[in-house]
Amino acid sequence: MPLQFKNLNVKYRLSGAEDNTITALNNISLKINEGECVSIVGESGSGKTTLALASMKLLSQNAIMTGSVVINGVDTSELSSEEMRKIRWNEISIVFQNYGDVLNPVHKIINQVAEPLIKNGESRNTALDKSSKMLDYMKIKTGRSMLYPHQLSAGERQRVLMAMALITDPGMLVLDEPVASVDAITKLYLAEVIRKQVNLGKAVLLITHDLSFAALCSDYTVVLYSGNILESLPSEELLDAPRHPYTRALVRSFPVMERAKDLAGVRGAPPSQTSTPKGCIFQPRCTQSIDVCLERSPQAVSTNGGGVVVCHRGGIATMISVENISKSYKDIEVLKDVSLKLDEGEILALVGETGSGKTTLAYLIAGTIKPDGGKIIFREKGLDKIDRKEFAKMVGIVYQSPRDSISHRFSVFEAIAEPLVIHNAFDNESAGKIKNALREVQLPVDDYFMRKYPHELSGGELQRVAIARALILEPDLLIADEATSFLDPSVQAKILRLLLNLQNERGISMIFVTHDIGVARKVSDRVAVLHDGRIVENSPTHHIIENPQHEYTKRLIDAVKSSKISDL
Amino acid sequence: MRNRTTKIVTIYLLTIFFLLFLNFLLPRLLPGDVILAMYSGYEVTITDELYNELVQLHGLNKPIHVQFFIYLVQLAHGNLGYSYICHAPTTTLIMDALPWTLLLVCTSFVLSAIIGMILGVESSWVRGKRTDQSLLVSMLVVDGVPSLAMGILFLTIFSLYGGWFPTSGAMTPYSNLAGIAHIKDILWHLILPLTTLTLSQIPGDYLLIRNSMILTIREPYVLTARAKGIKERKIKYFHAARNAILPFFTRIGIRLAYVITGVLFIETIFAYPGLGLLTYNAISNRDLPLLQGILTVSVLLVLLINIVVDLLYKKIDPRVEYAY
Repeated sequence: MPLQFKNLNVKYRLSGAEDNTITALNNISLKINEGECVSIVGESGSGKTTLALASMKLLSQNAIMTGSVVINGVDTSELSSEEMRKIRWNEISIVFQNYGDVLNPVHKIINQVAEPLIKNGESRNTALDKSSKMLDYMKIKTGRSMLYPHQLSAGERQRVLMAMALITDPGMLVLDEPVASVDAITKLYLAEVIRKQVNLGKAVLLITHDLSFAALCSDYTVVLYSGNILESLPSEELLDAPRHPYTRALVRSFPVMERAKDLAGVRGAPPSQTSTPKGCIFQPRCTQSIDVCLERSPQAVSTNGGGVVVCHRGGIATMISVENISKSYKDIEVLKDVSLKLDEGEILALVGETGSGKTTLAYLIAGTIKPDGGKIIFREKGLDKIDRKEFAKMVGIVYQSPRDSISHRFSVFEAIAEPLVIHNAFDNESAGKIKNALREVQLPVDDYFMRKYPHELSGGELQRVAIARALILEPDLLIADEATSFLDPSVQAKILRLLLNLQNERGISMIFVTHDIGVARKVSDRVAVLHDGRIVENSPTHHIIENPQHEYTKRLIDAVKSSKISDL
Repeated sequence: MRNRTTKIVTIYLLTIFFLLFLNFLLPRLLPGDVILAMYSGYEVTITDELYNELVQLHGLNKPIHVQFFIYLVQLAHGNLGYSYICHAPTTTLIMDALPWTLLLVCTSFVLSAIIGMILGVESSWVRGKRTDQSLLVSMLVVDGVPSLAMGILFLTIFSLYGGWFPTSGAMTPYSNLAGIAHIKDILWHLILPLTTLTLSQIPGDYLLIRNSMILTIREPYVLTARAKGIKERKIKYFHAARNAILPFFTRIGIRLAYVITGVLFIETIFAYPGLGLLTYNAISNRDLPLLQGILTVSVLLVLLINIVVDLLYKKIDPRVEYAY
């Protein structure tokens, strides 16, 4: 076992009182085997760099460390500084974050790369020769090795640091943000270098906030949040199937080439490090927290994907699961054996041509019609066993045709107030709430407008009134059937942004029924393609768009992309 | 690089020109009459006839720019004027004194730099520990003692009472010593003024290096060196101190000017026949031409050291090439 962290706790003493500390790492246990690369991801301040420094016993003097770091079976906490000095760069080396003067500004880079070799007793000439070859391998142009650090670009300095770490060929590598300052091509080259080192049997601890790089390079990914491990999972699942709400929020914040959905950012801010909250550390920022999350900290649970998630709800919870549902209108079979799942805080787009069964499926989930066979489970309860009124409070619906769904006897104000009245929630603050809802859907809030009746409104205005009505009770789930089809591009863009914001800030889930795959691509996390009453494809949005599997999906996307009308 | 060199040289030439002009102007700006001021030390009555003759002699009847031109030409020939009090050309007087001052200043400058640096580096490395704190306090105490007082103290203890060192001069007069004995004699005379001057400079160097080291120790490259498993002493000197001494080199020019001022007192106390003593005598005898000559030489000396440091600085800090 080359590198192992056992119950590692690191606190930093602040000036002032003796017990004035901040927690940087909380009970971290982690193993990295030979020929394995483990990446650590998390926001700034999550303790990533502290972990890197702890691995080589380089923490600053105000750090208090308990637990142990084991290198090749030796517990380093018991080693003297002289013994530690011998381990450094011979058994484990580090690439520091390329920030400020990591390289000594007054010494030539080649001398700095050669220094560990010279320390080990190699002759100066051999050391320089080897360093020159290593710099060459790291694609530092010949002749540039005789320069000083400030004469190199940031990307070159990064590669110099890499060359320096590899020069003594240690069995373990700690890489702290090795690609933060390099271009995509260099990044790919560094990934190759790292993978090669892993294949040669090195144990690599890769610290990065670049999720796609973690997915590319590492075997396992550990998600660190405020000094705590929240999740560890096989790296290939990181981008597509994260289990912890925090990991998912990170993934949603991370720009990936293929993904068209807007970036979100994890809501809220990391907790203060001076106090330890009673419950789950992520609770204040989590969109699916329940009562127990406030009371005690969660335990690690194994996931079926081979990872571990630290969450009371076992990771991202399933909100709705539709199991083998079918529906016919008289002889016409509209849905055949349809199954799908919707996670908490997920936006699922149902796409397909008209008549494919999208609306029927949406209404089945909304509970407005009943299935012929199969079942629908909402938050672990059968839909037929849930009180309709309770359910209606949690689910907002925007029907396809707003003119039919809003009573012509209601004014705008009354239409939006109706759900509040039904649920006995209409009070003094409601008028303000309604105005706010109108503002959010980009409608005027003057009395004149609010007194208008549906027949006085345009289709687009009416659709927005329907959206405001669906959102007035702050539902957990929004089922939107072609909710933006009547809107002009500008208003549509603003409404989509509003919906995404609700997803990010409140963790609202959404079933977004649309025939427009272009809109689906911008809002949804996942797309389910319906064709002839069956789900023919159900994958993360960017997979569907980039690499559609089903013939029908391909045709659907080609139809959107085509800019020419073929001759008939 | 060439550009930088040209730029530095141009800046210095302009500075020299300006300073020489100031030096040329100085006696002319003195209150009262130049001639009267210059000859006030003489016990002669200056008659109108003599006055006119002296004006003619010194070219004071010529326009000022012509006077300055003559001054520059004379300077280029190494003629700094004539001291009527010492009855000798100023250049000769200065050239006799200069080597002693250079010996004293350079030796003490190098010695204090080395001692100050080592103490500063070691002190900062154990910052907050007992060694550091006692060093810091004693340095502040030494810094607080004026070199004048220190010199007098040393002179009293080691020369007057102890009798181990000579009380004055740079070598034993009329001893006709040669070879090793001669050098020994010079060193024997040098020790007290050198110690005083060195001691007065060490605290400044020490404080500068210690401060700079404390900042440098926090630099990431020191952590890099430590991570690389480099030996402690090499991290301390090769990585940290190598960077921490940079401010010292930047300040050499300024410090040198201070040392030259400081040497005035020390040479006077120990009657060491250098530029300092010469200045002291020139001031007390109101020997204007001599004083003017000394000023010119000091200015040129300080600027010369500065230009050398400036031109060599990029060898010490490779980053400056881009700073210009």
